[in-house]
Amino acid sequence: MICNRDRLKRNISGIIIQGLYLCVGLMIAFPIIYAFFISFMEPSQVLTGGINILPKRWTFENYRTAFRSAPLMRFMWNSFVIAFVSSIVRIIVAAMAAFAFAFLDFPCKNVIFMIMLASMMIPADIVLVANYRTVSQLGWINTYLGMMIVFFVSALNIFMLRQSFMSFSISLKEAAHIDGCSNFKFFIRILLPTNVSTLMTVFITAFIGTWNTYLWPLMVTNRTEMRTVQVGVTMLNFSEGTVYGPIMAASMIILVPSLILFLAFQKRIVAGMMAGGVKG
Amino acid sequence: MQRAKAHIKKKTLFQKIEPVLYLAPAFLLLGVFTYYPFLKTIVESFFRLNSMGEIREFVGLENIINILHNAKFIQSIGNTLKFVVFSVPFSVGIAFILAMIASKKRTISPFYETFFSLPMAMSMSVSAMIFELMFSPTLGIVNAISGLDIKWLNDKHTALWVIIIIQVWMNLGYNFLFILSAIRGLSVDLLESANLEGANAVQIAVKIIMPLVSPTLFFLVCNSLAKMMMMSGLSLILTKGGPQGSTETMISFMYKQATENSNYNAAYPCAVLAFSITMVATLITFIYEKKGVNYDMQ
Amino acid sequence: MKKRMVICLVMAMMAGLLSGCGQGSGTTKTQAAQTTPATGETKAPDEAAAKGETVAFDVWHSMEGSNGEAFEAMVKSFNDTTGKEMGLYANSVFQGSDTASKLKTLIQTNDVENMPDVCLVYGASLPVVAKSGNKVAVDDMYGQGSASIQKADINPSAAQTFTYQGEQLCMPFNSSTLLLYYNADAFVEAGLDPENPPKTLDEIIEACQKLTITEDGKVTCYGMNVVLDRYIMVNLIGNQGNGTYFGDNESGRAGLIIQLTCEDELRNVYNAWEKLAATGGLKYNYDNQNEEFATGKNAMTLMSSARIGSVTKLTKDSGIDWRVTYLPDINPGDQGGACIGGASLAMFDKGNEAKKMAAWEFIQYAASTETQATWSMATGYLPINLGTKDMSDFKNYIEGNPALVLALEQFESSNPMVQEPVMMMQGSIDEIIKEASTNVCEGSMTAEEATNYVMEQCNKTFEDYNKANE
Repeated sequence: MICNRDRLKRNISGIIIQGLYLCVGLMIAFPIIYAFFISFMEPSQVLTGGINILPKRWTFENYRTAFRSAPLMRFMWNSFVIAFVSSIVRIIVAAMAAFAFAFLDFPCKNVIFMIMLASMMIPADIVLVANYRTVSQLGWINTYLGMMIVFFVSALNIFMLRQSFMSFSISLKEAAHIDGCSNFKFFIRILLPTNVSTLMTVFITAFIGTWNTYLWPLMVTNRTEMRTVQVGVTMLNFSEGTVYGPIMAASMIILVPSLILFLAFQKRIVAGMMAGGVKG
Repeated sequence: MQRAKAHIKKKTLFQKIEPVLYLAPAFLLLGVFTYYPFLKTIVESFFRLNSMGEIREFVGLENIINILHNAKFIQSIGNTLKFVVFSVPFSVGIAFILAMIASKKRTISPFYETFFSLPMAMSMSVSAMIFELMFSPTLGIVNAISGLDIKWLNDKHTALWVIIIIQVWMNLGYNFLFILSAIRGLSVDLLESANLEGANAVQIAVKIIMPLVSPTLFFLVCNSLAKMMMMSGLSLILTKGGPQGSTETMISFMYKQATENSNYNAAYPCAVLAFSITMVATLITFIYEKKGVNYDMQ
Repeated sequence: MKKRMVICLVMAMMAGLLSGCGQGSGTTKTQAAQTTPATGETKAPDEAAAKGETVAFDVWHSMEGSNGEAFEAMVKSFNDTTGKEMGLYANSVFQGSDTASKLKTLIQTNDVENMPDVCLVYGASLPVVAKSGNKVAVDDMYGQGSASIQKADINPSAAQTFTYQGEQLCMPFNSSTLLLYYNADAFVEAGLDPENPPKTLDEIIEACQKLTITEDGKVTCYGMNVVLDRYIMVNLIGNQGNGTYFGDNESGRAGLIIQLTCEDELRNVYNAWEKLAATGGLKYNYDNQNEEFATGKNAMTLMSSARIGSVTKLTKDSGIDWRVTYLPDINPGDQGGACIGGASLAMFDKGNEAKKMAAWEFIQYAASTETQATWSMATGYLPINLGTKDMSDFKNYIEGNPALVLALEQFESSNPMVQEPVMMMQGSIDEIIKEASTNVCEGSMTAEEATNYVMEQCNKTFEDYNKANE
């Protein structure tokens, strides 16, 4: 009898706790949910003060305006190509460099690592004009390559992977070595497959990061059909006064691919980085 | 004996070159697109430049001295440090708490896991717009629900706090995912034995889990530190550095000098100084890495 | 359940992508009865270009929203009329608010290939354009090509706005002037006469006191909502007397500004502002300027005539009776007038004579009487062509729009010497003035201190700039 009551108590407290966590979740997601509702609101309602969360009258007009004002679908395609390709290249480049930092020994390793890290601290805005000059001299203005090239490497991702690789047991590598496995084979056949979760995380963060960049793609493209999606949203930003409805609508639209990527791969990411490869 | 020696020599030569091959792609790209332009910036900061960025004459340290006497720049350094001191611990700390909450898998885990990581999917410009509306003194929901009459982004006392809140929110998703992965990857036996020993949730979190996920935490702190030191986007979009310079950060100051004023004599030394300050801060965290972070997952 | 959600989202995205791909160059089909393509690009017919008959050239602009649609419409009508006759085709590309910095980057890196043939530039970019080795001054082009526009056709104030170092660089395109907007309903409630709006700053101060409504210690309706920044300040200064220069060297048009020449006028403004702030009815920051005026939260505001369109639309929902009046004077009898705001069309020579002439034809078309009439009617900008106001269509249009009539009047009666100053470090000057203004409003600086602060800081800024750019 007592057991049942205990179990009931635990179940109730479990439910309450879960409810609480859900509330926290809603609080955190609130800005996005709020934007979602505004995108369906009529302009007059947005402009009235007071507590305005749910639309009084649901309207699709904002979405229509958003699609009318800018070729959003074309932009999304551009953003997708850039984000996808550059993320793949980025993982490869980063994995190779991280492998060197984590497993290989070479002189001044720490110094070189710090130099690489230092690149994270160089403000992107200041090198913008110089990079534009370089890219234009290479003839890559208005091309996908020109837009992607600066995203092919990220000190951050190298750092990320290095941390993950360093948690990987060194004894496994030594074992592979003794078995006659070269560094490269170890890299391809053992290290990468076991770190798929981390690689996936890097890919997704790189993808979303590139999807969300604004300034560089704007600088490097002059033709509308090459624009990315973040620029598209600003096309709706009227300097004579912000019109929130269509902007929120466009924001929701461009949120969709990131969301898809997220939901689809969430299990993989959260399944956990394998703690090293060897336990005991 | 002879054969063994020759064998070792051969490996050594290839081994010497091997790291270079792995590092080459990364460093080539970094070299062309990051190091080279920045070195050029550093060199050019010792010259007087006209509004088109062309070199006029050598002035040595004059630009740097001038910028250090610029009250607005000093204010921006102060703002940036204040911003970093609050946003980094909060964004990692709150993410850690969220990850602890979400670590145990329950029936509705997927829901709040998704919600907790959602901020990551939003771009900065869109997040800025949404929060701007939420914090609008007249139309915004924050004032409406709380009944306050604070001017938020238009008040020099509260503007930086709003930006801190927005930035922390934006960082939550990313940090949360990483810490959650790390926690989920921990050995279950360890956690259970700690539970049995009578440790309460807070003790477990602080004394056991935190040290175990310290590599991840260290990475997140380091990353956040660099990013927050370089933050400029929110200031430029929402407040343009105002009101009265209270949200000006080092990089937003630099950006305005370069684009609005074409004053490269202020912008370049500013970049160099911002970089140096960030470097110092990062080095300090790396000293902590030696002491506080352990990489053995056992 | 999550899987289904993902599948739904993916299908939605695929559907969207496929429809997007099927549209090739990215012009979306418009659901509304619009004959113009969305803010995108009007692509050149490749076959005709290949034949060598049509000269295609690029036009960059930063017009957004409904103005953007009107701009695209204008480009299309050029292509259908003059373009077709002369074998020219204009590709218009929206470049967004970063157009100026993009243009500057191109000029700095001397990237001639990627430059546009025609670009919409604001006054702030004049020195940048002047520095370009590829610029073509409009002054040099008058009388060439079809010679459909002569300098005498253009409003002299507007032409002067884009004149630099003695020559007219660019062709004004969309002009505006600064007006005082006021809420006639609020005036009546406060016992003021809406037919007799305030003419001087002192009258505004009086009106503001009466118009401000407070409930329980909180202000529910501000009498005036203005941020005294560079733009408003140069207007208020320029208007004084018979017109006042902001800085020497014709406010930067004849050469680099060395120092400010408007100390007395500056002091007058800050003195008045001190009193205005003391009424407690001045809101000195912007949240949603248009919306707050249109919904009655602020009774008066100073805004560009370009916002007449937005305010008309917003007040249709709120039903407020609103009017405009002239830029306020300091002393009665001030007749300098307001500065001309807005942008212009600049052209560049990329080494191709045919494209250069094509660009000039486009600019002439844009400045013509008819085009300016259509443009003005669609956007609320003021026509820069003197002949437009005699067109019957235009006359009918403005008859129903008293705000526009007044704006036009102020536009045409302003002294051409009253212009915004040309300075490359506009951002710094703006910040200096805004900071002094905010301090005056908060009471932490007196008018005298603010005047000295602005004079000192601006002159120092000019000095630093000139040292590097002599």
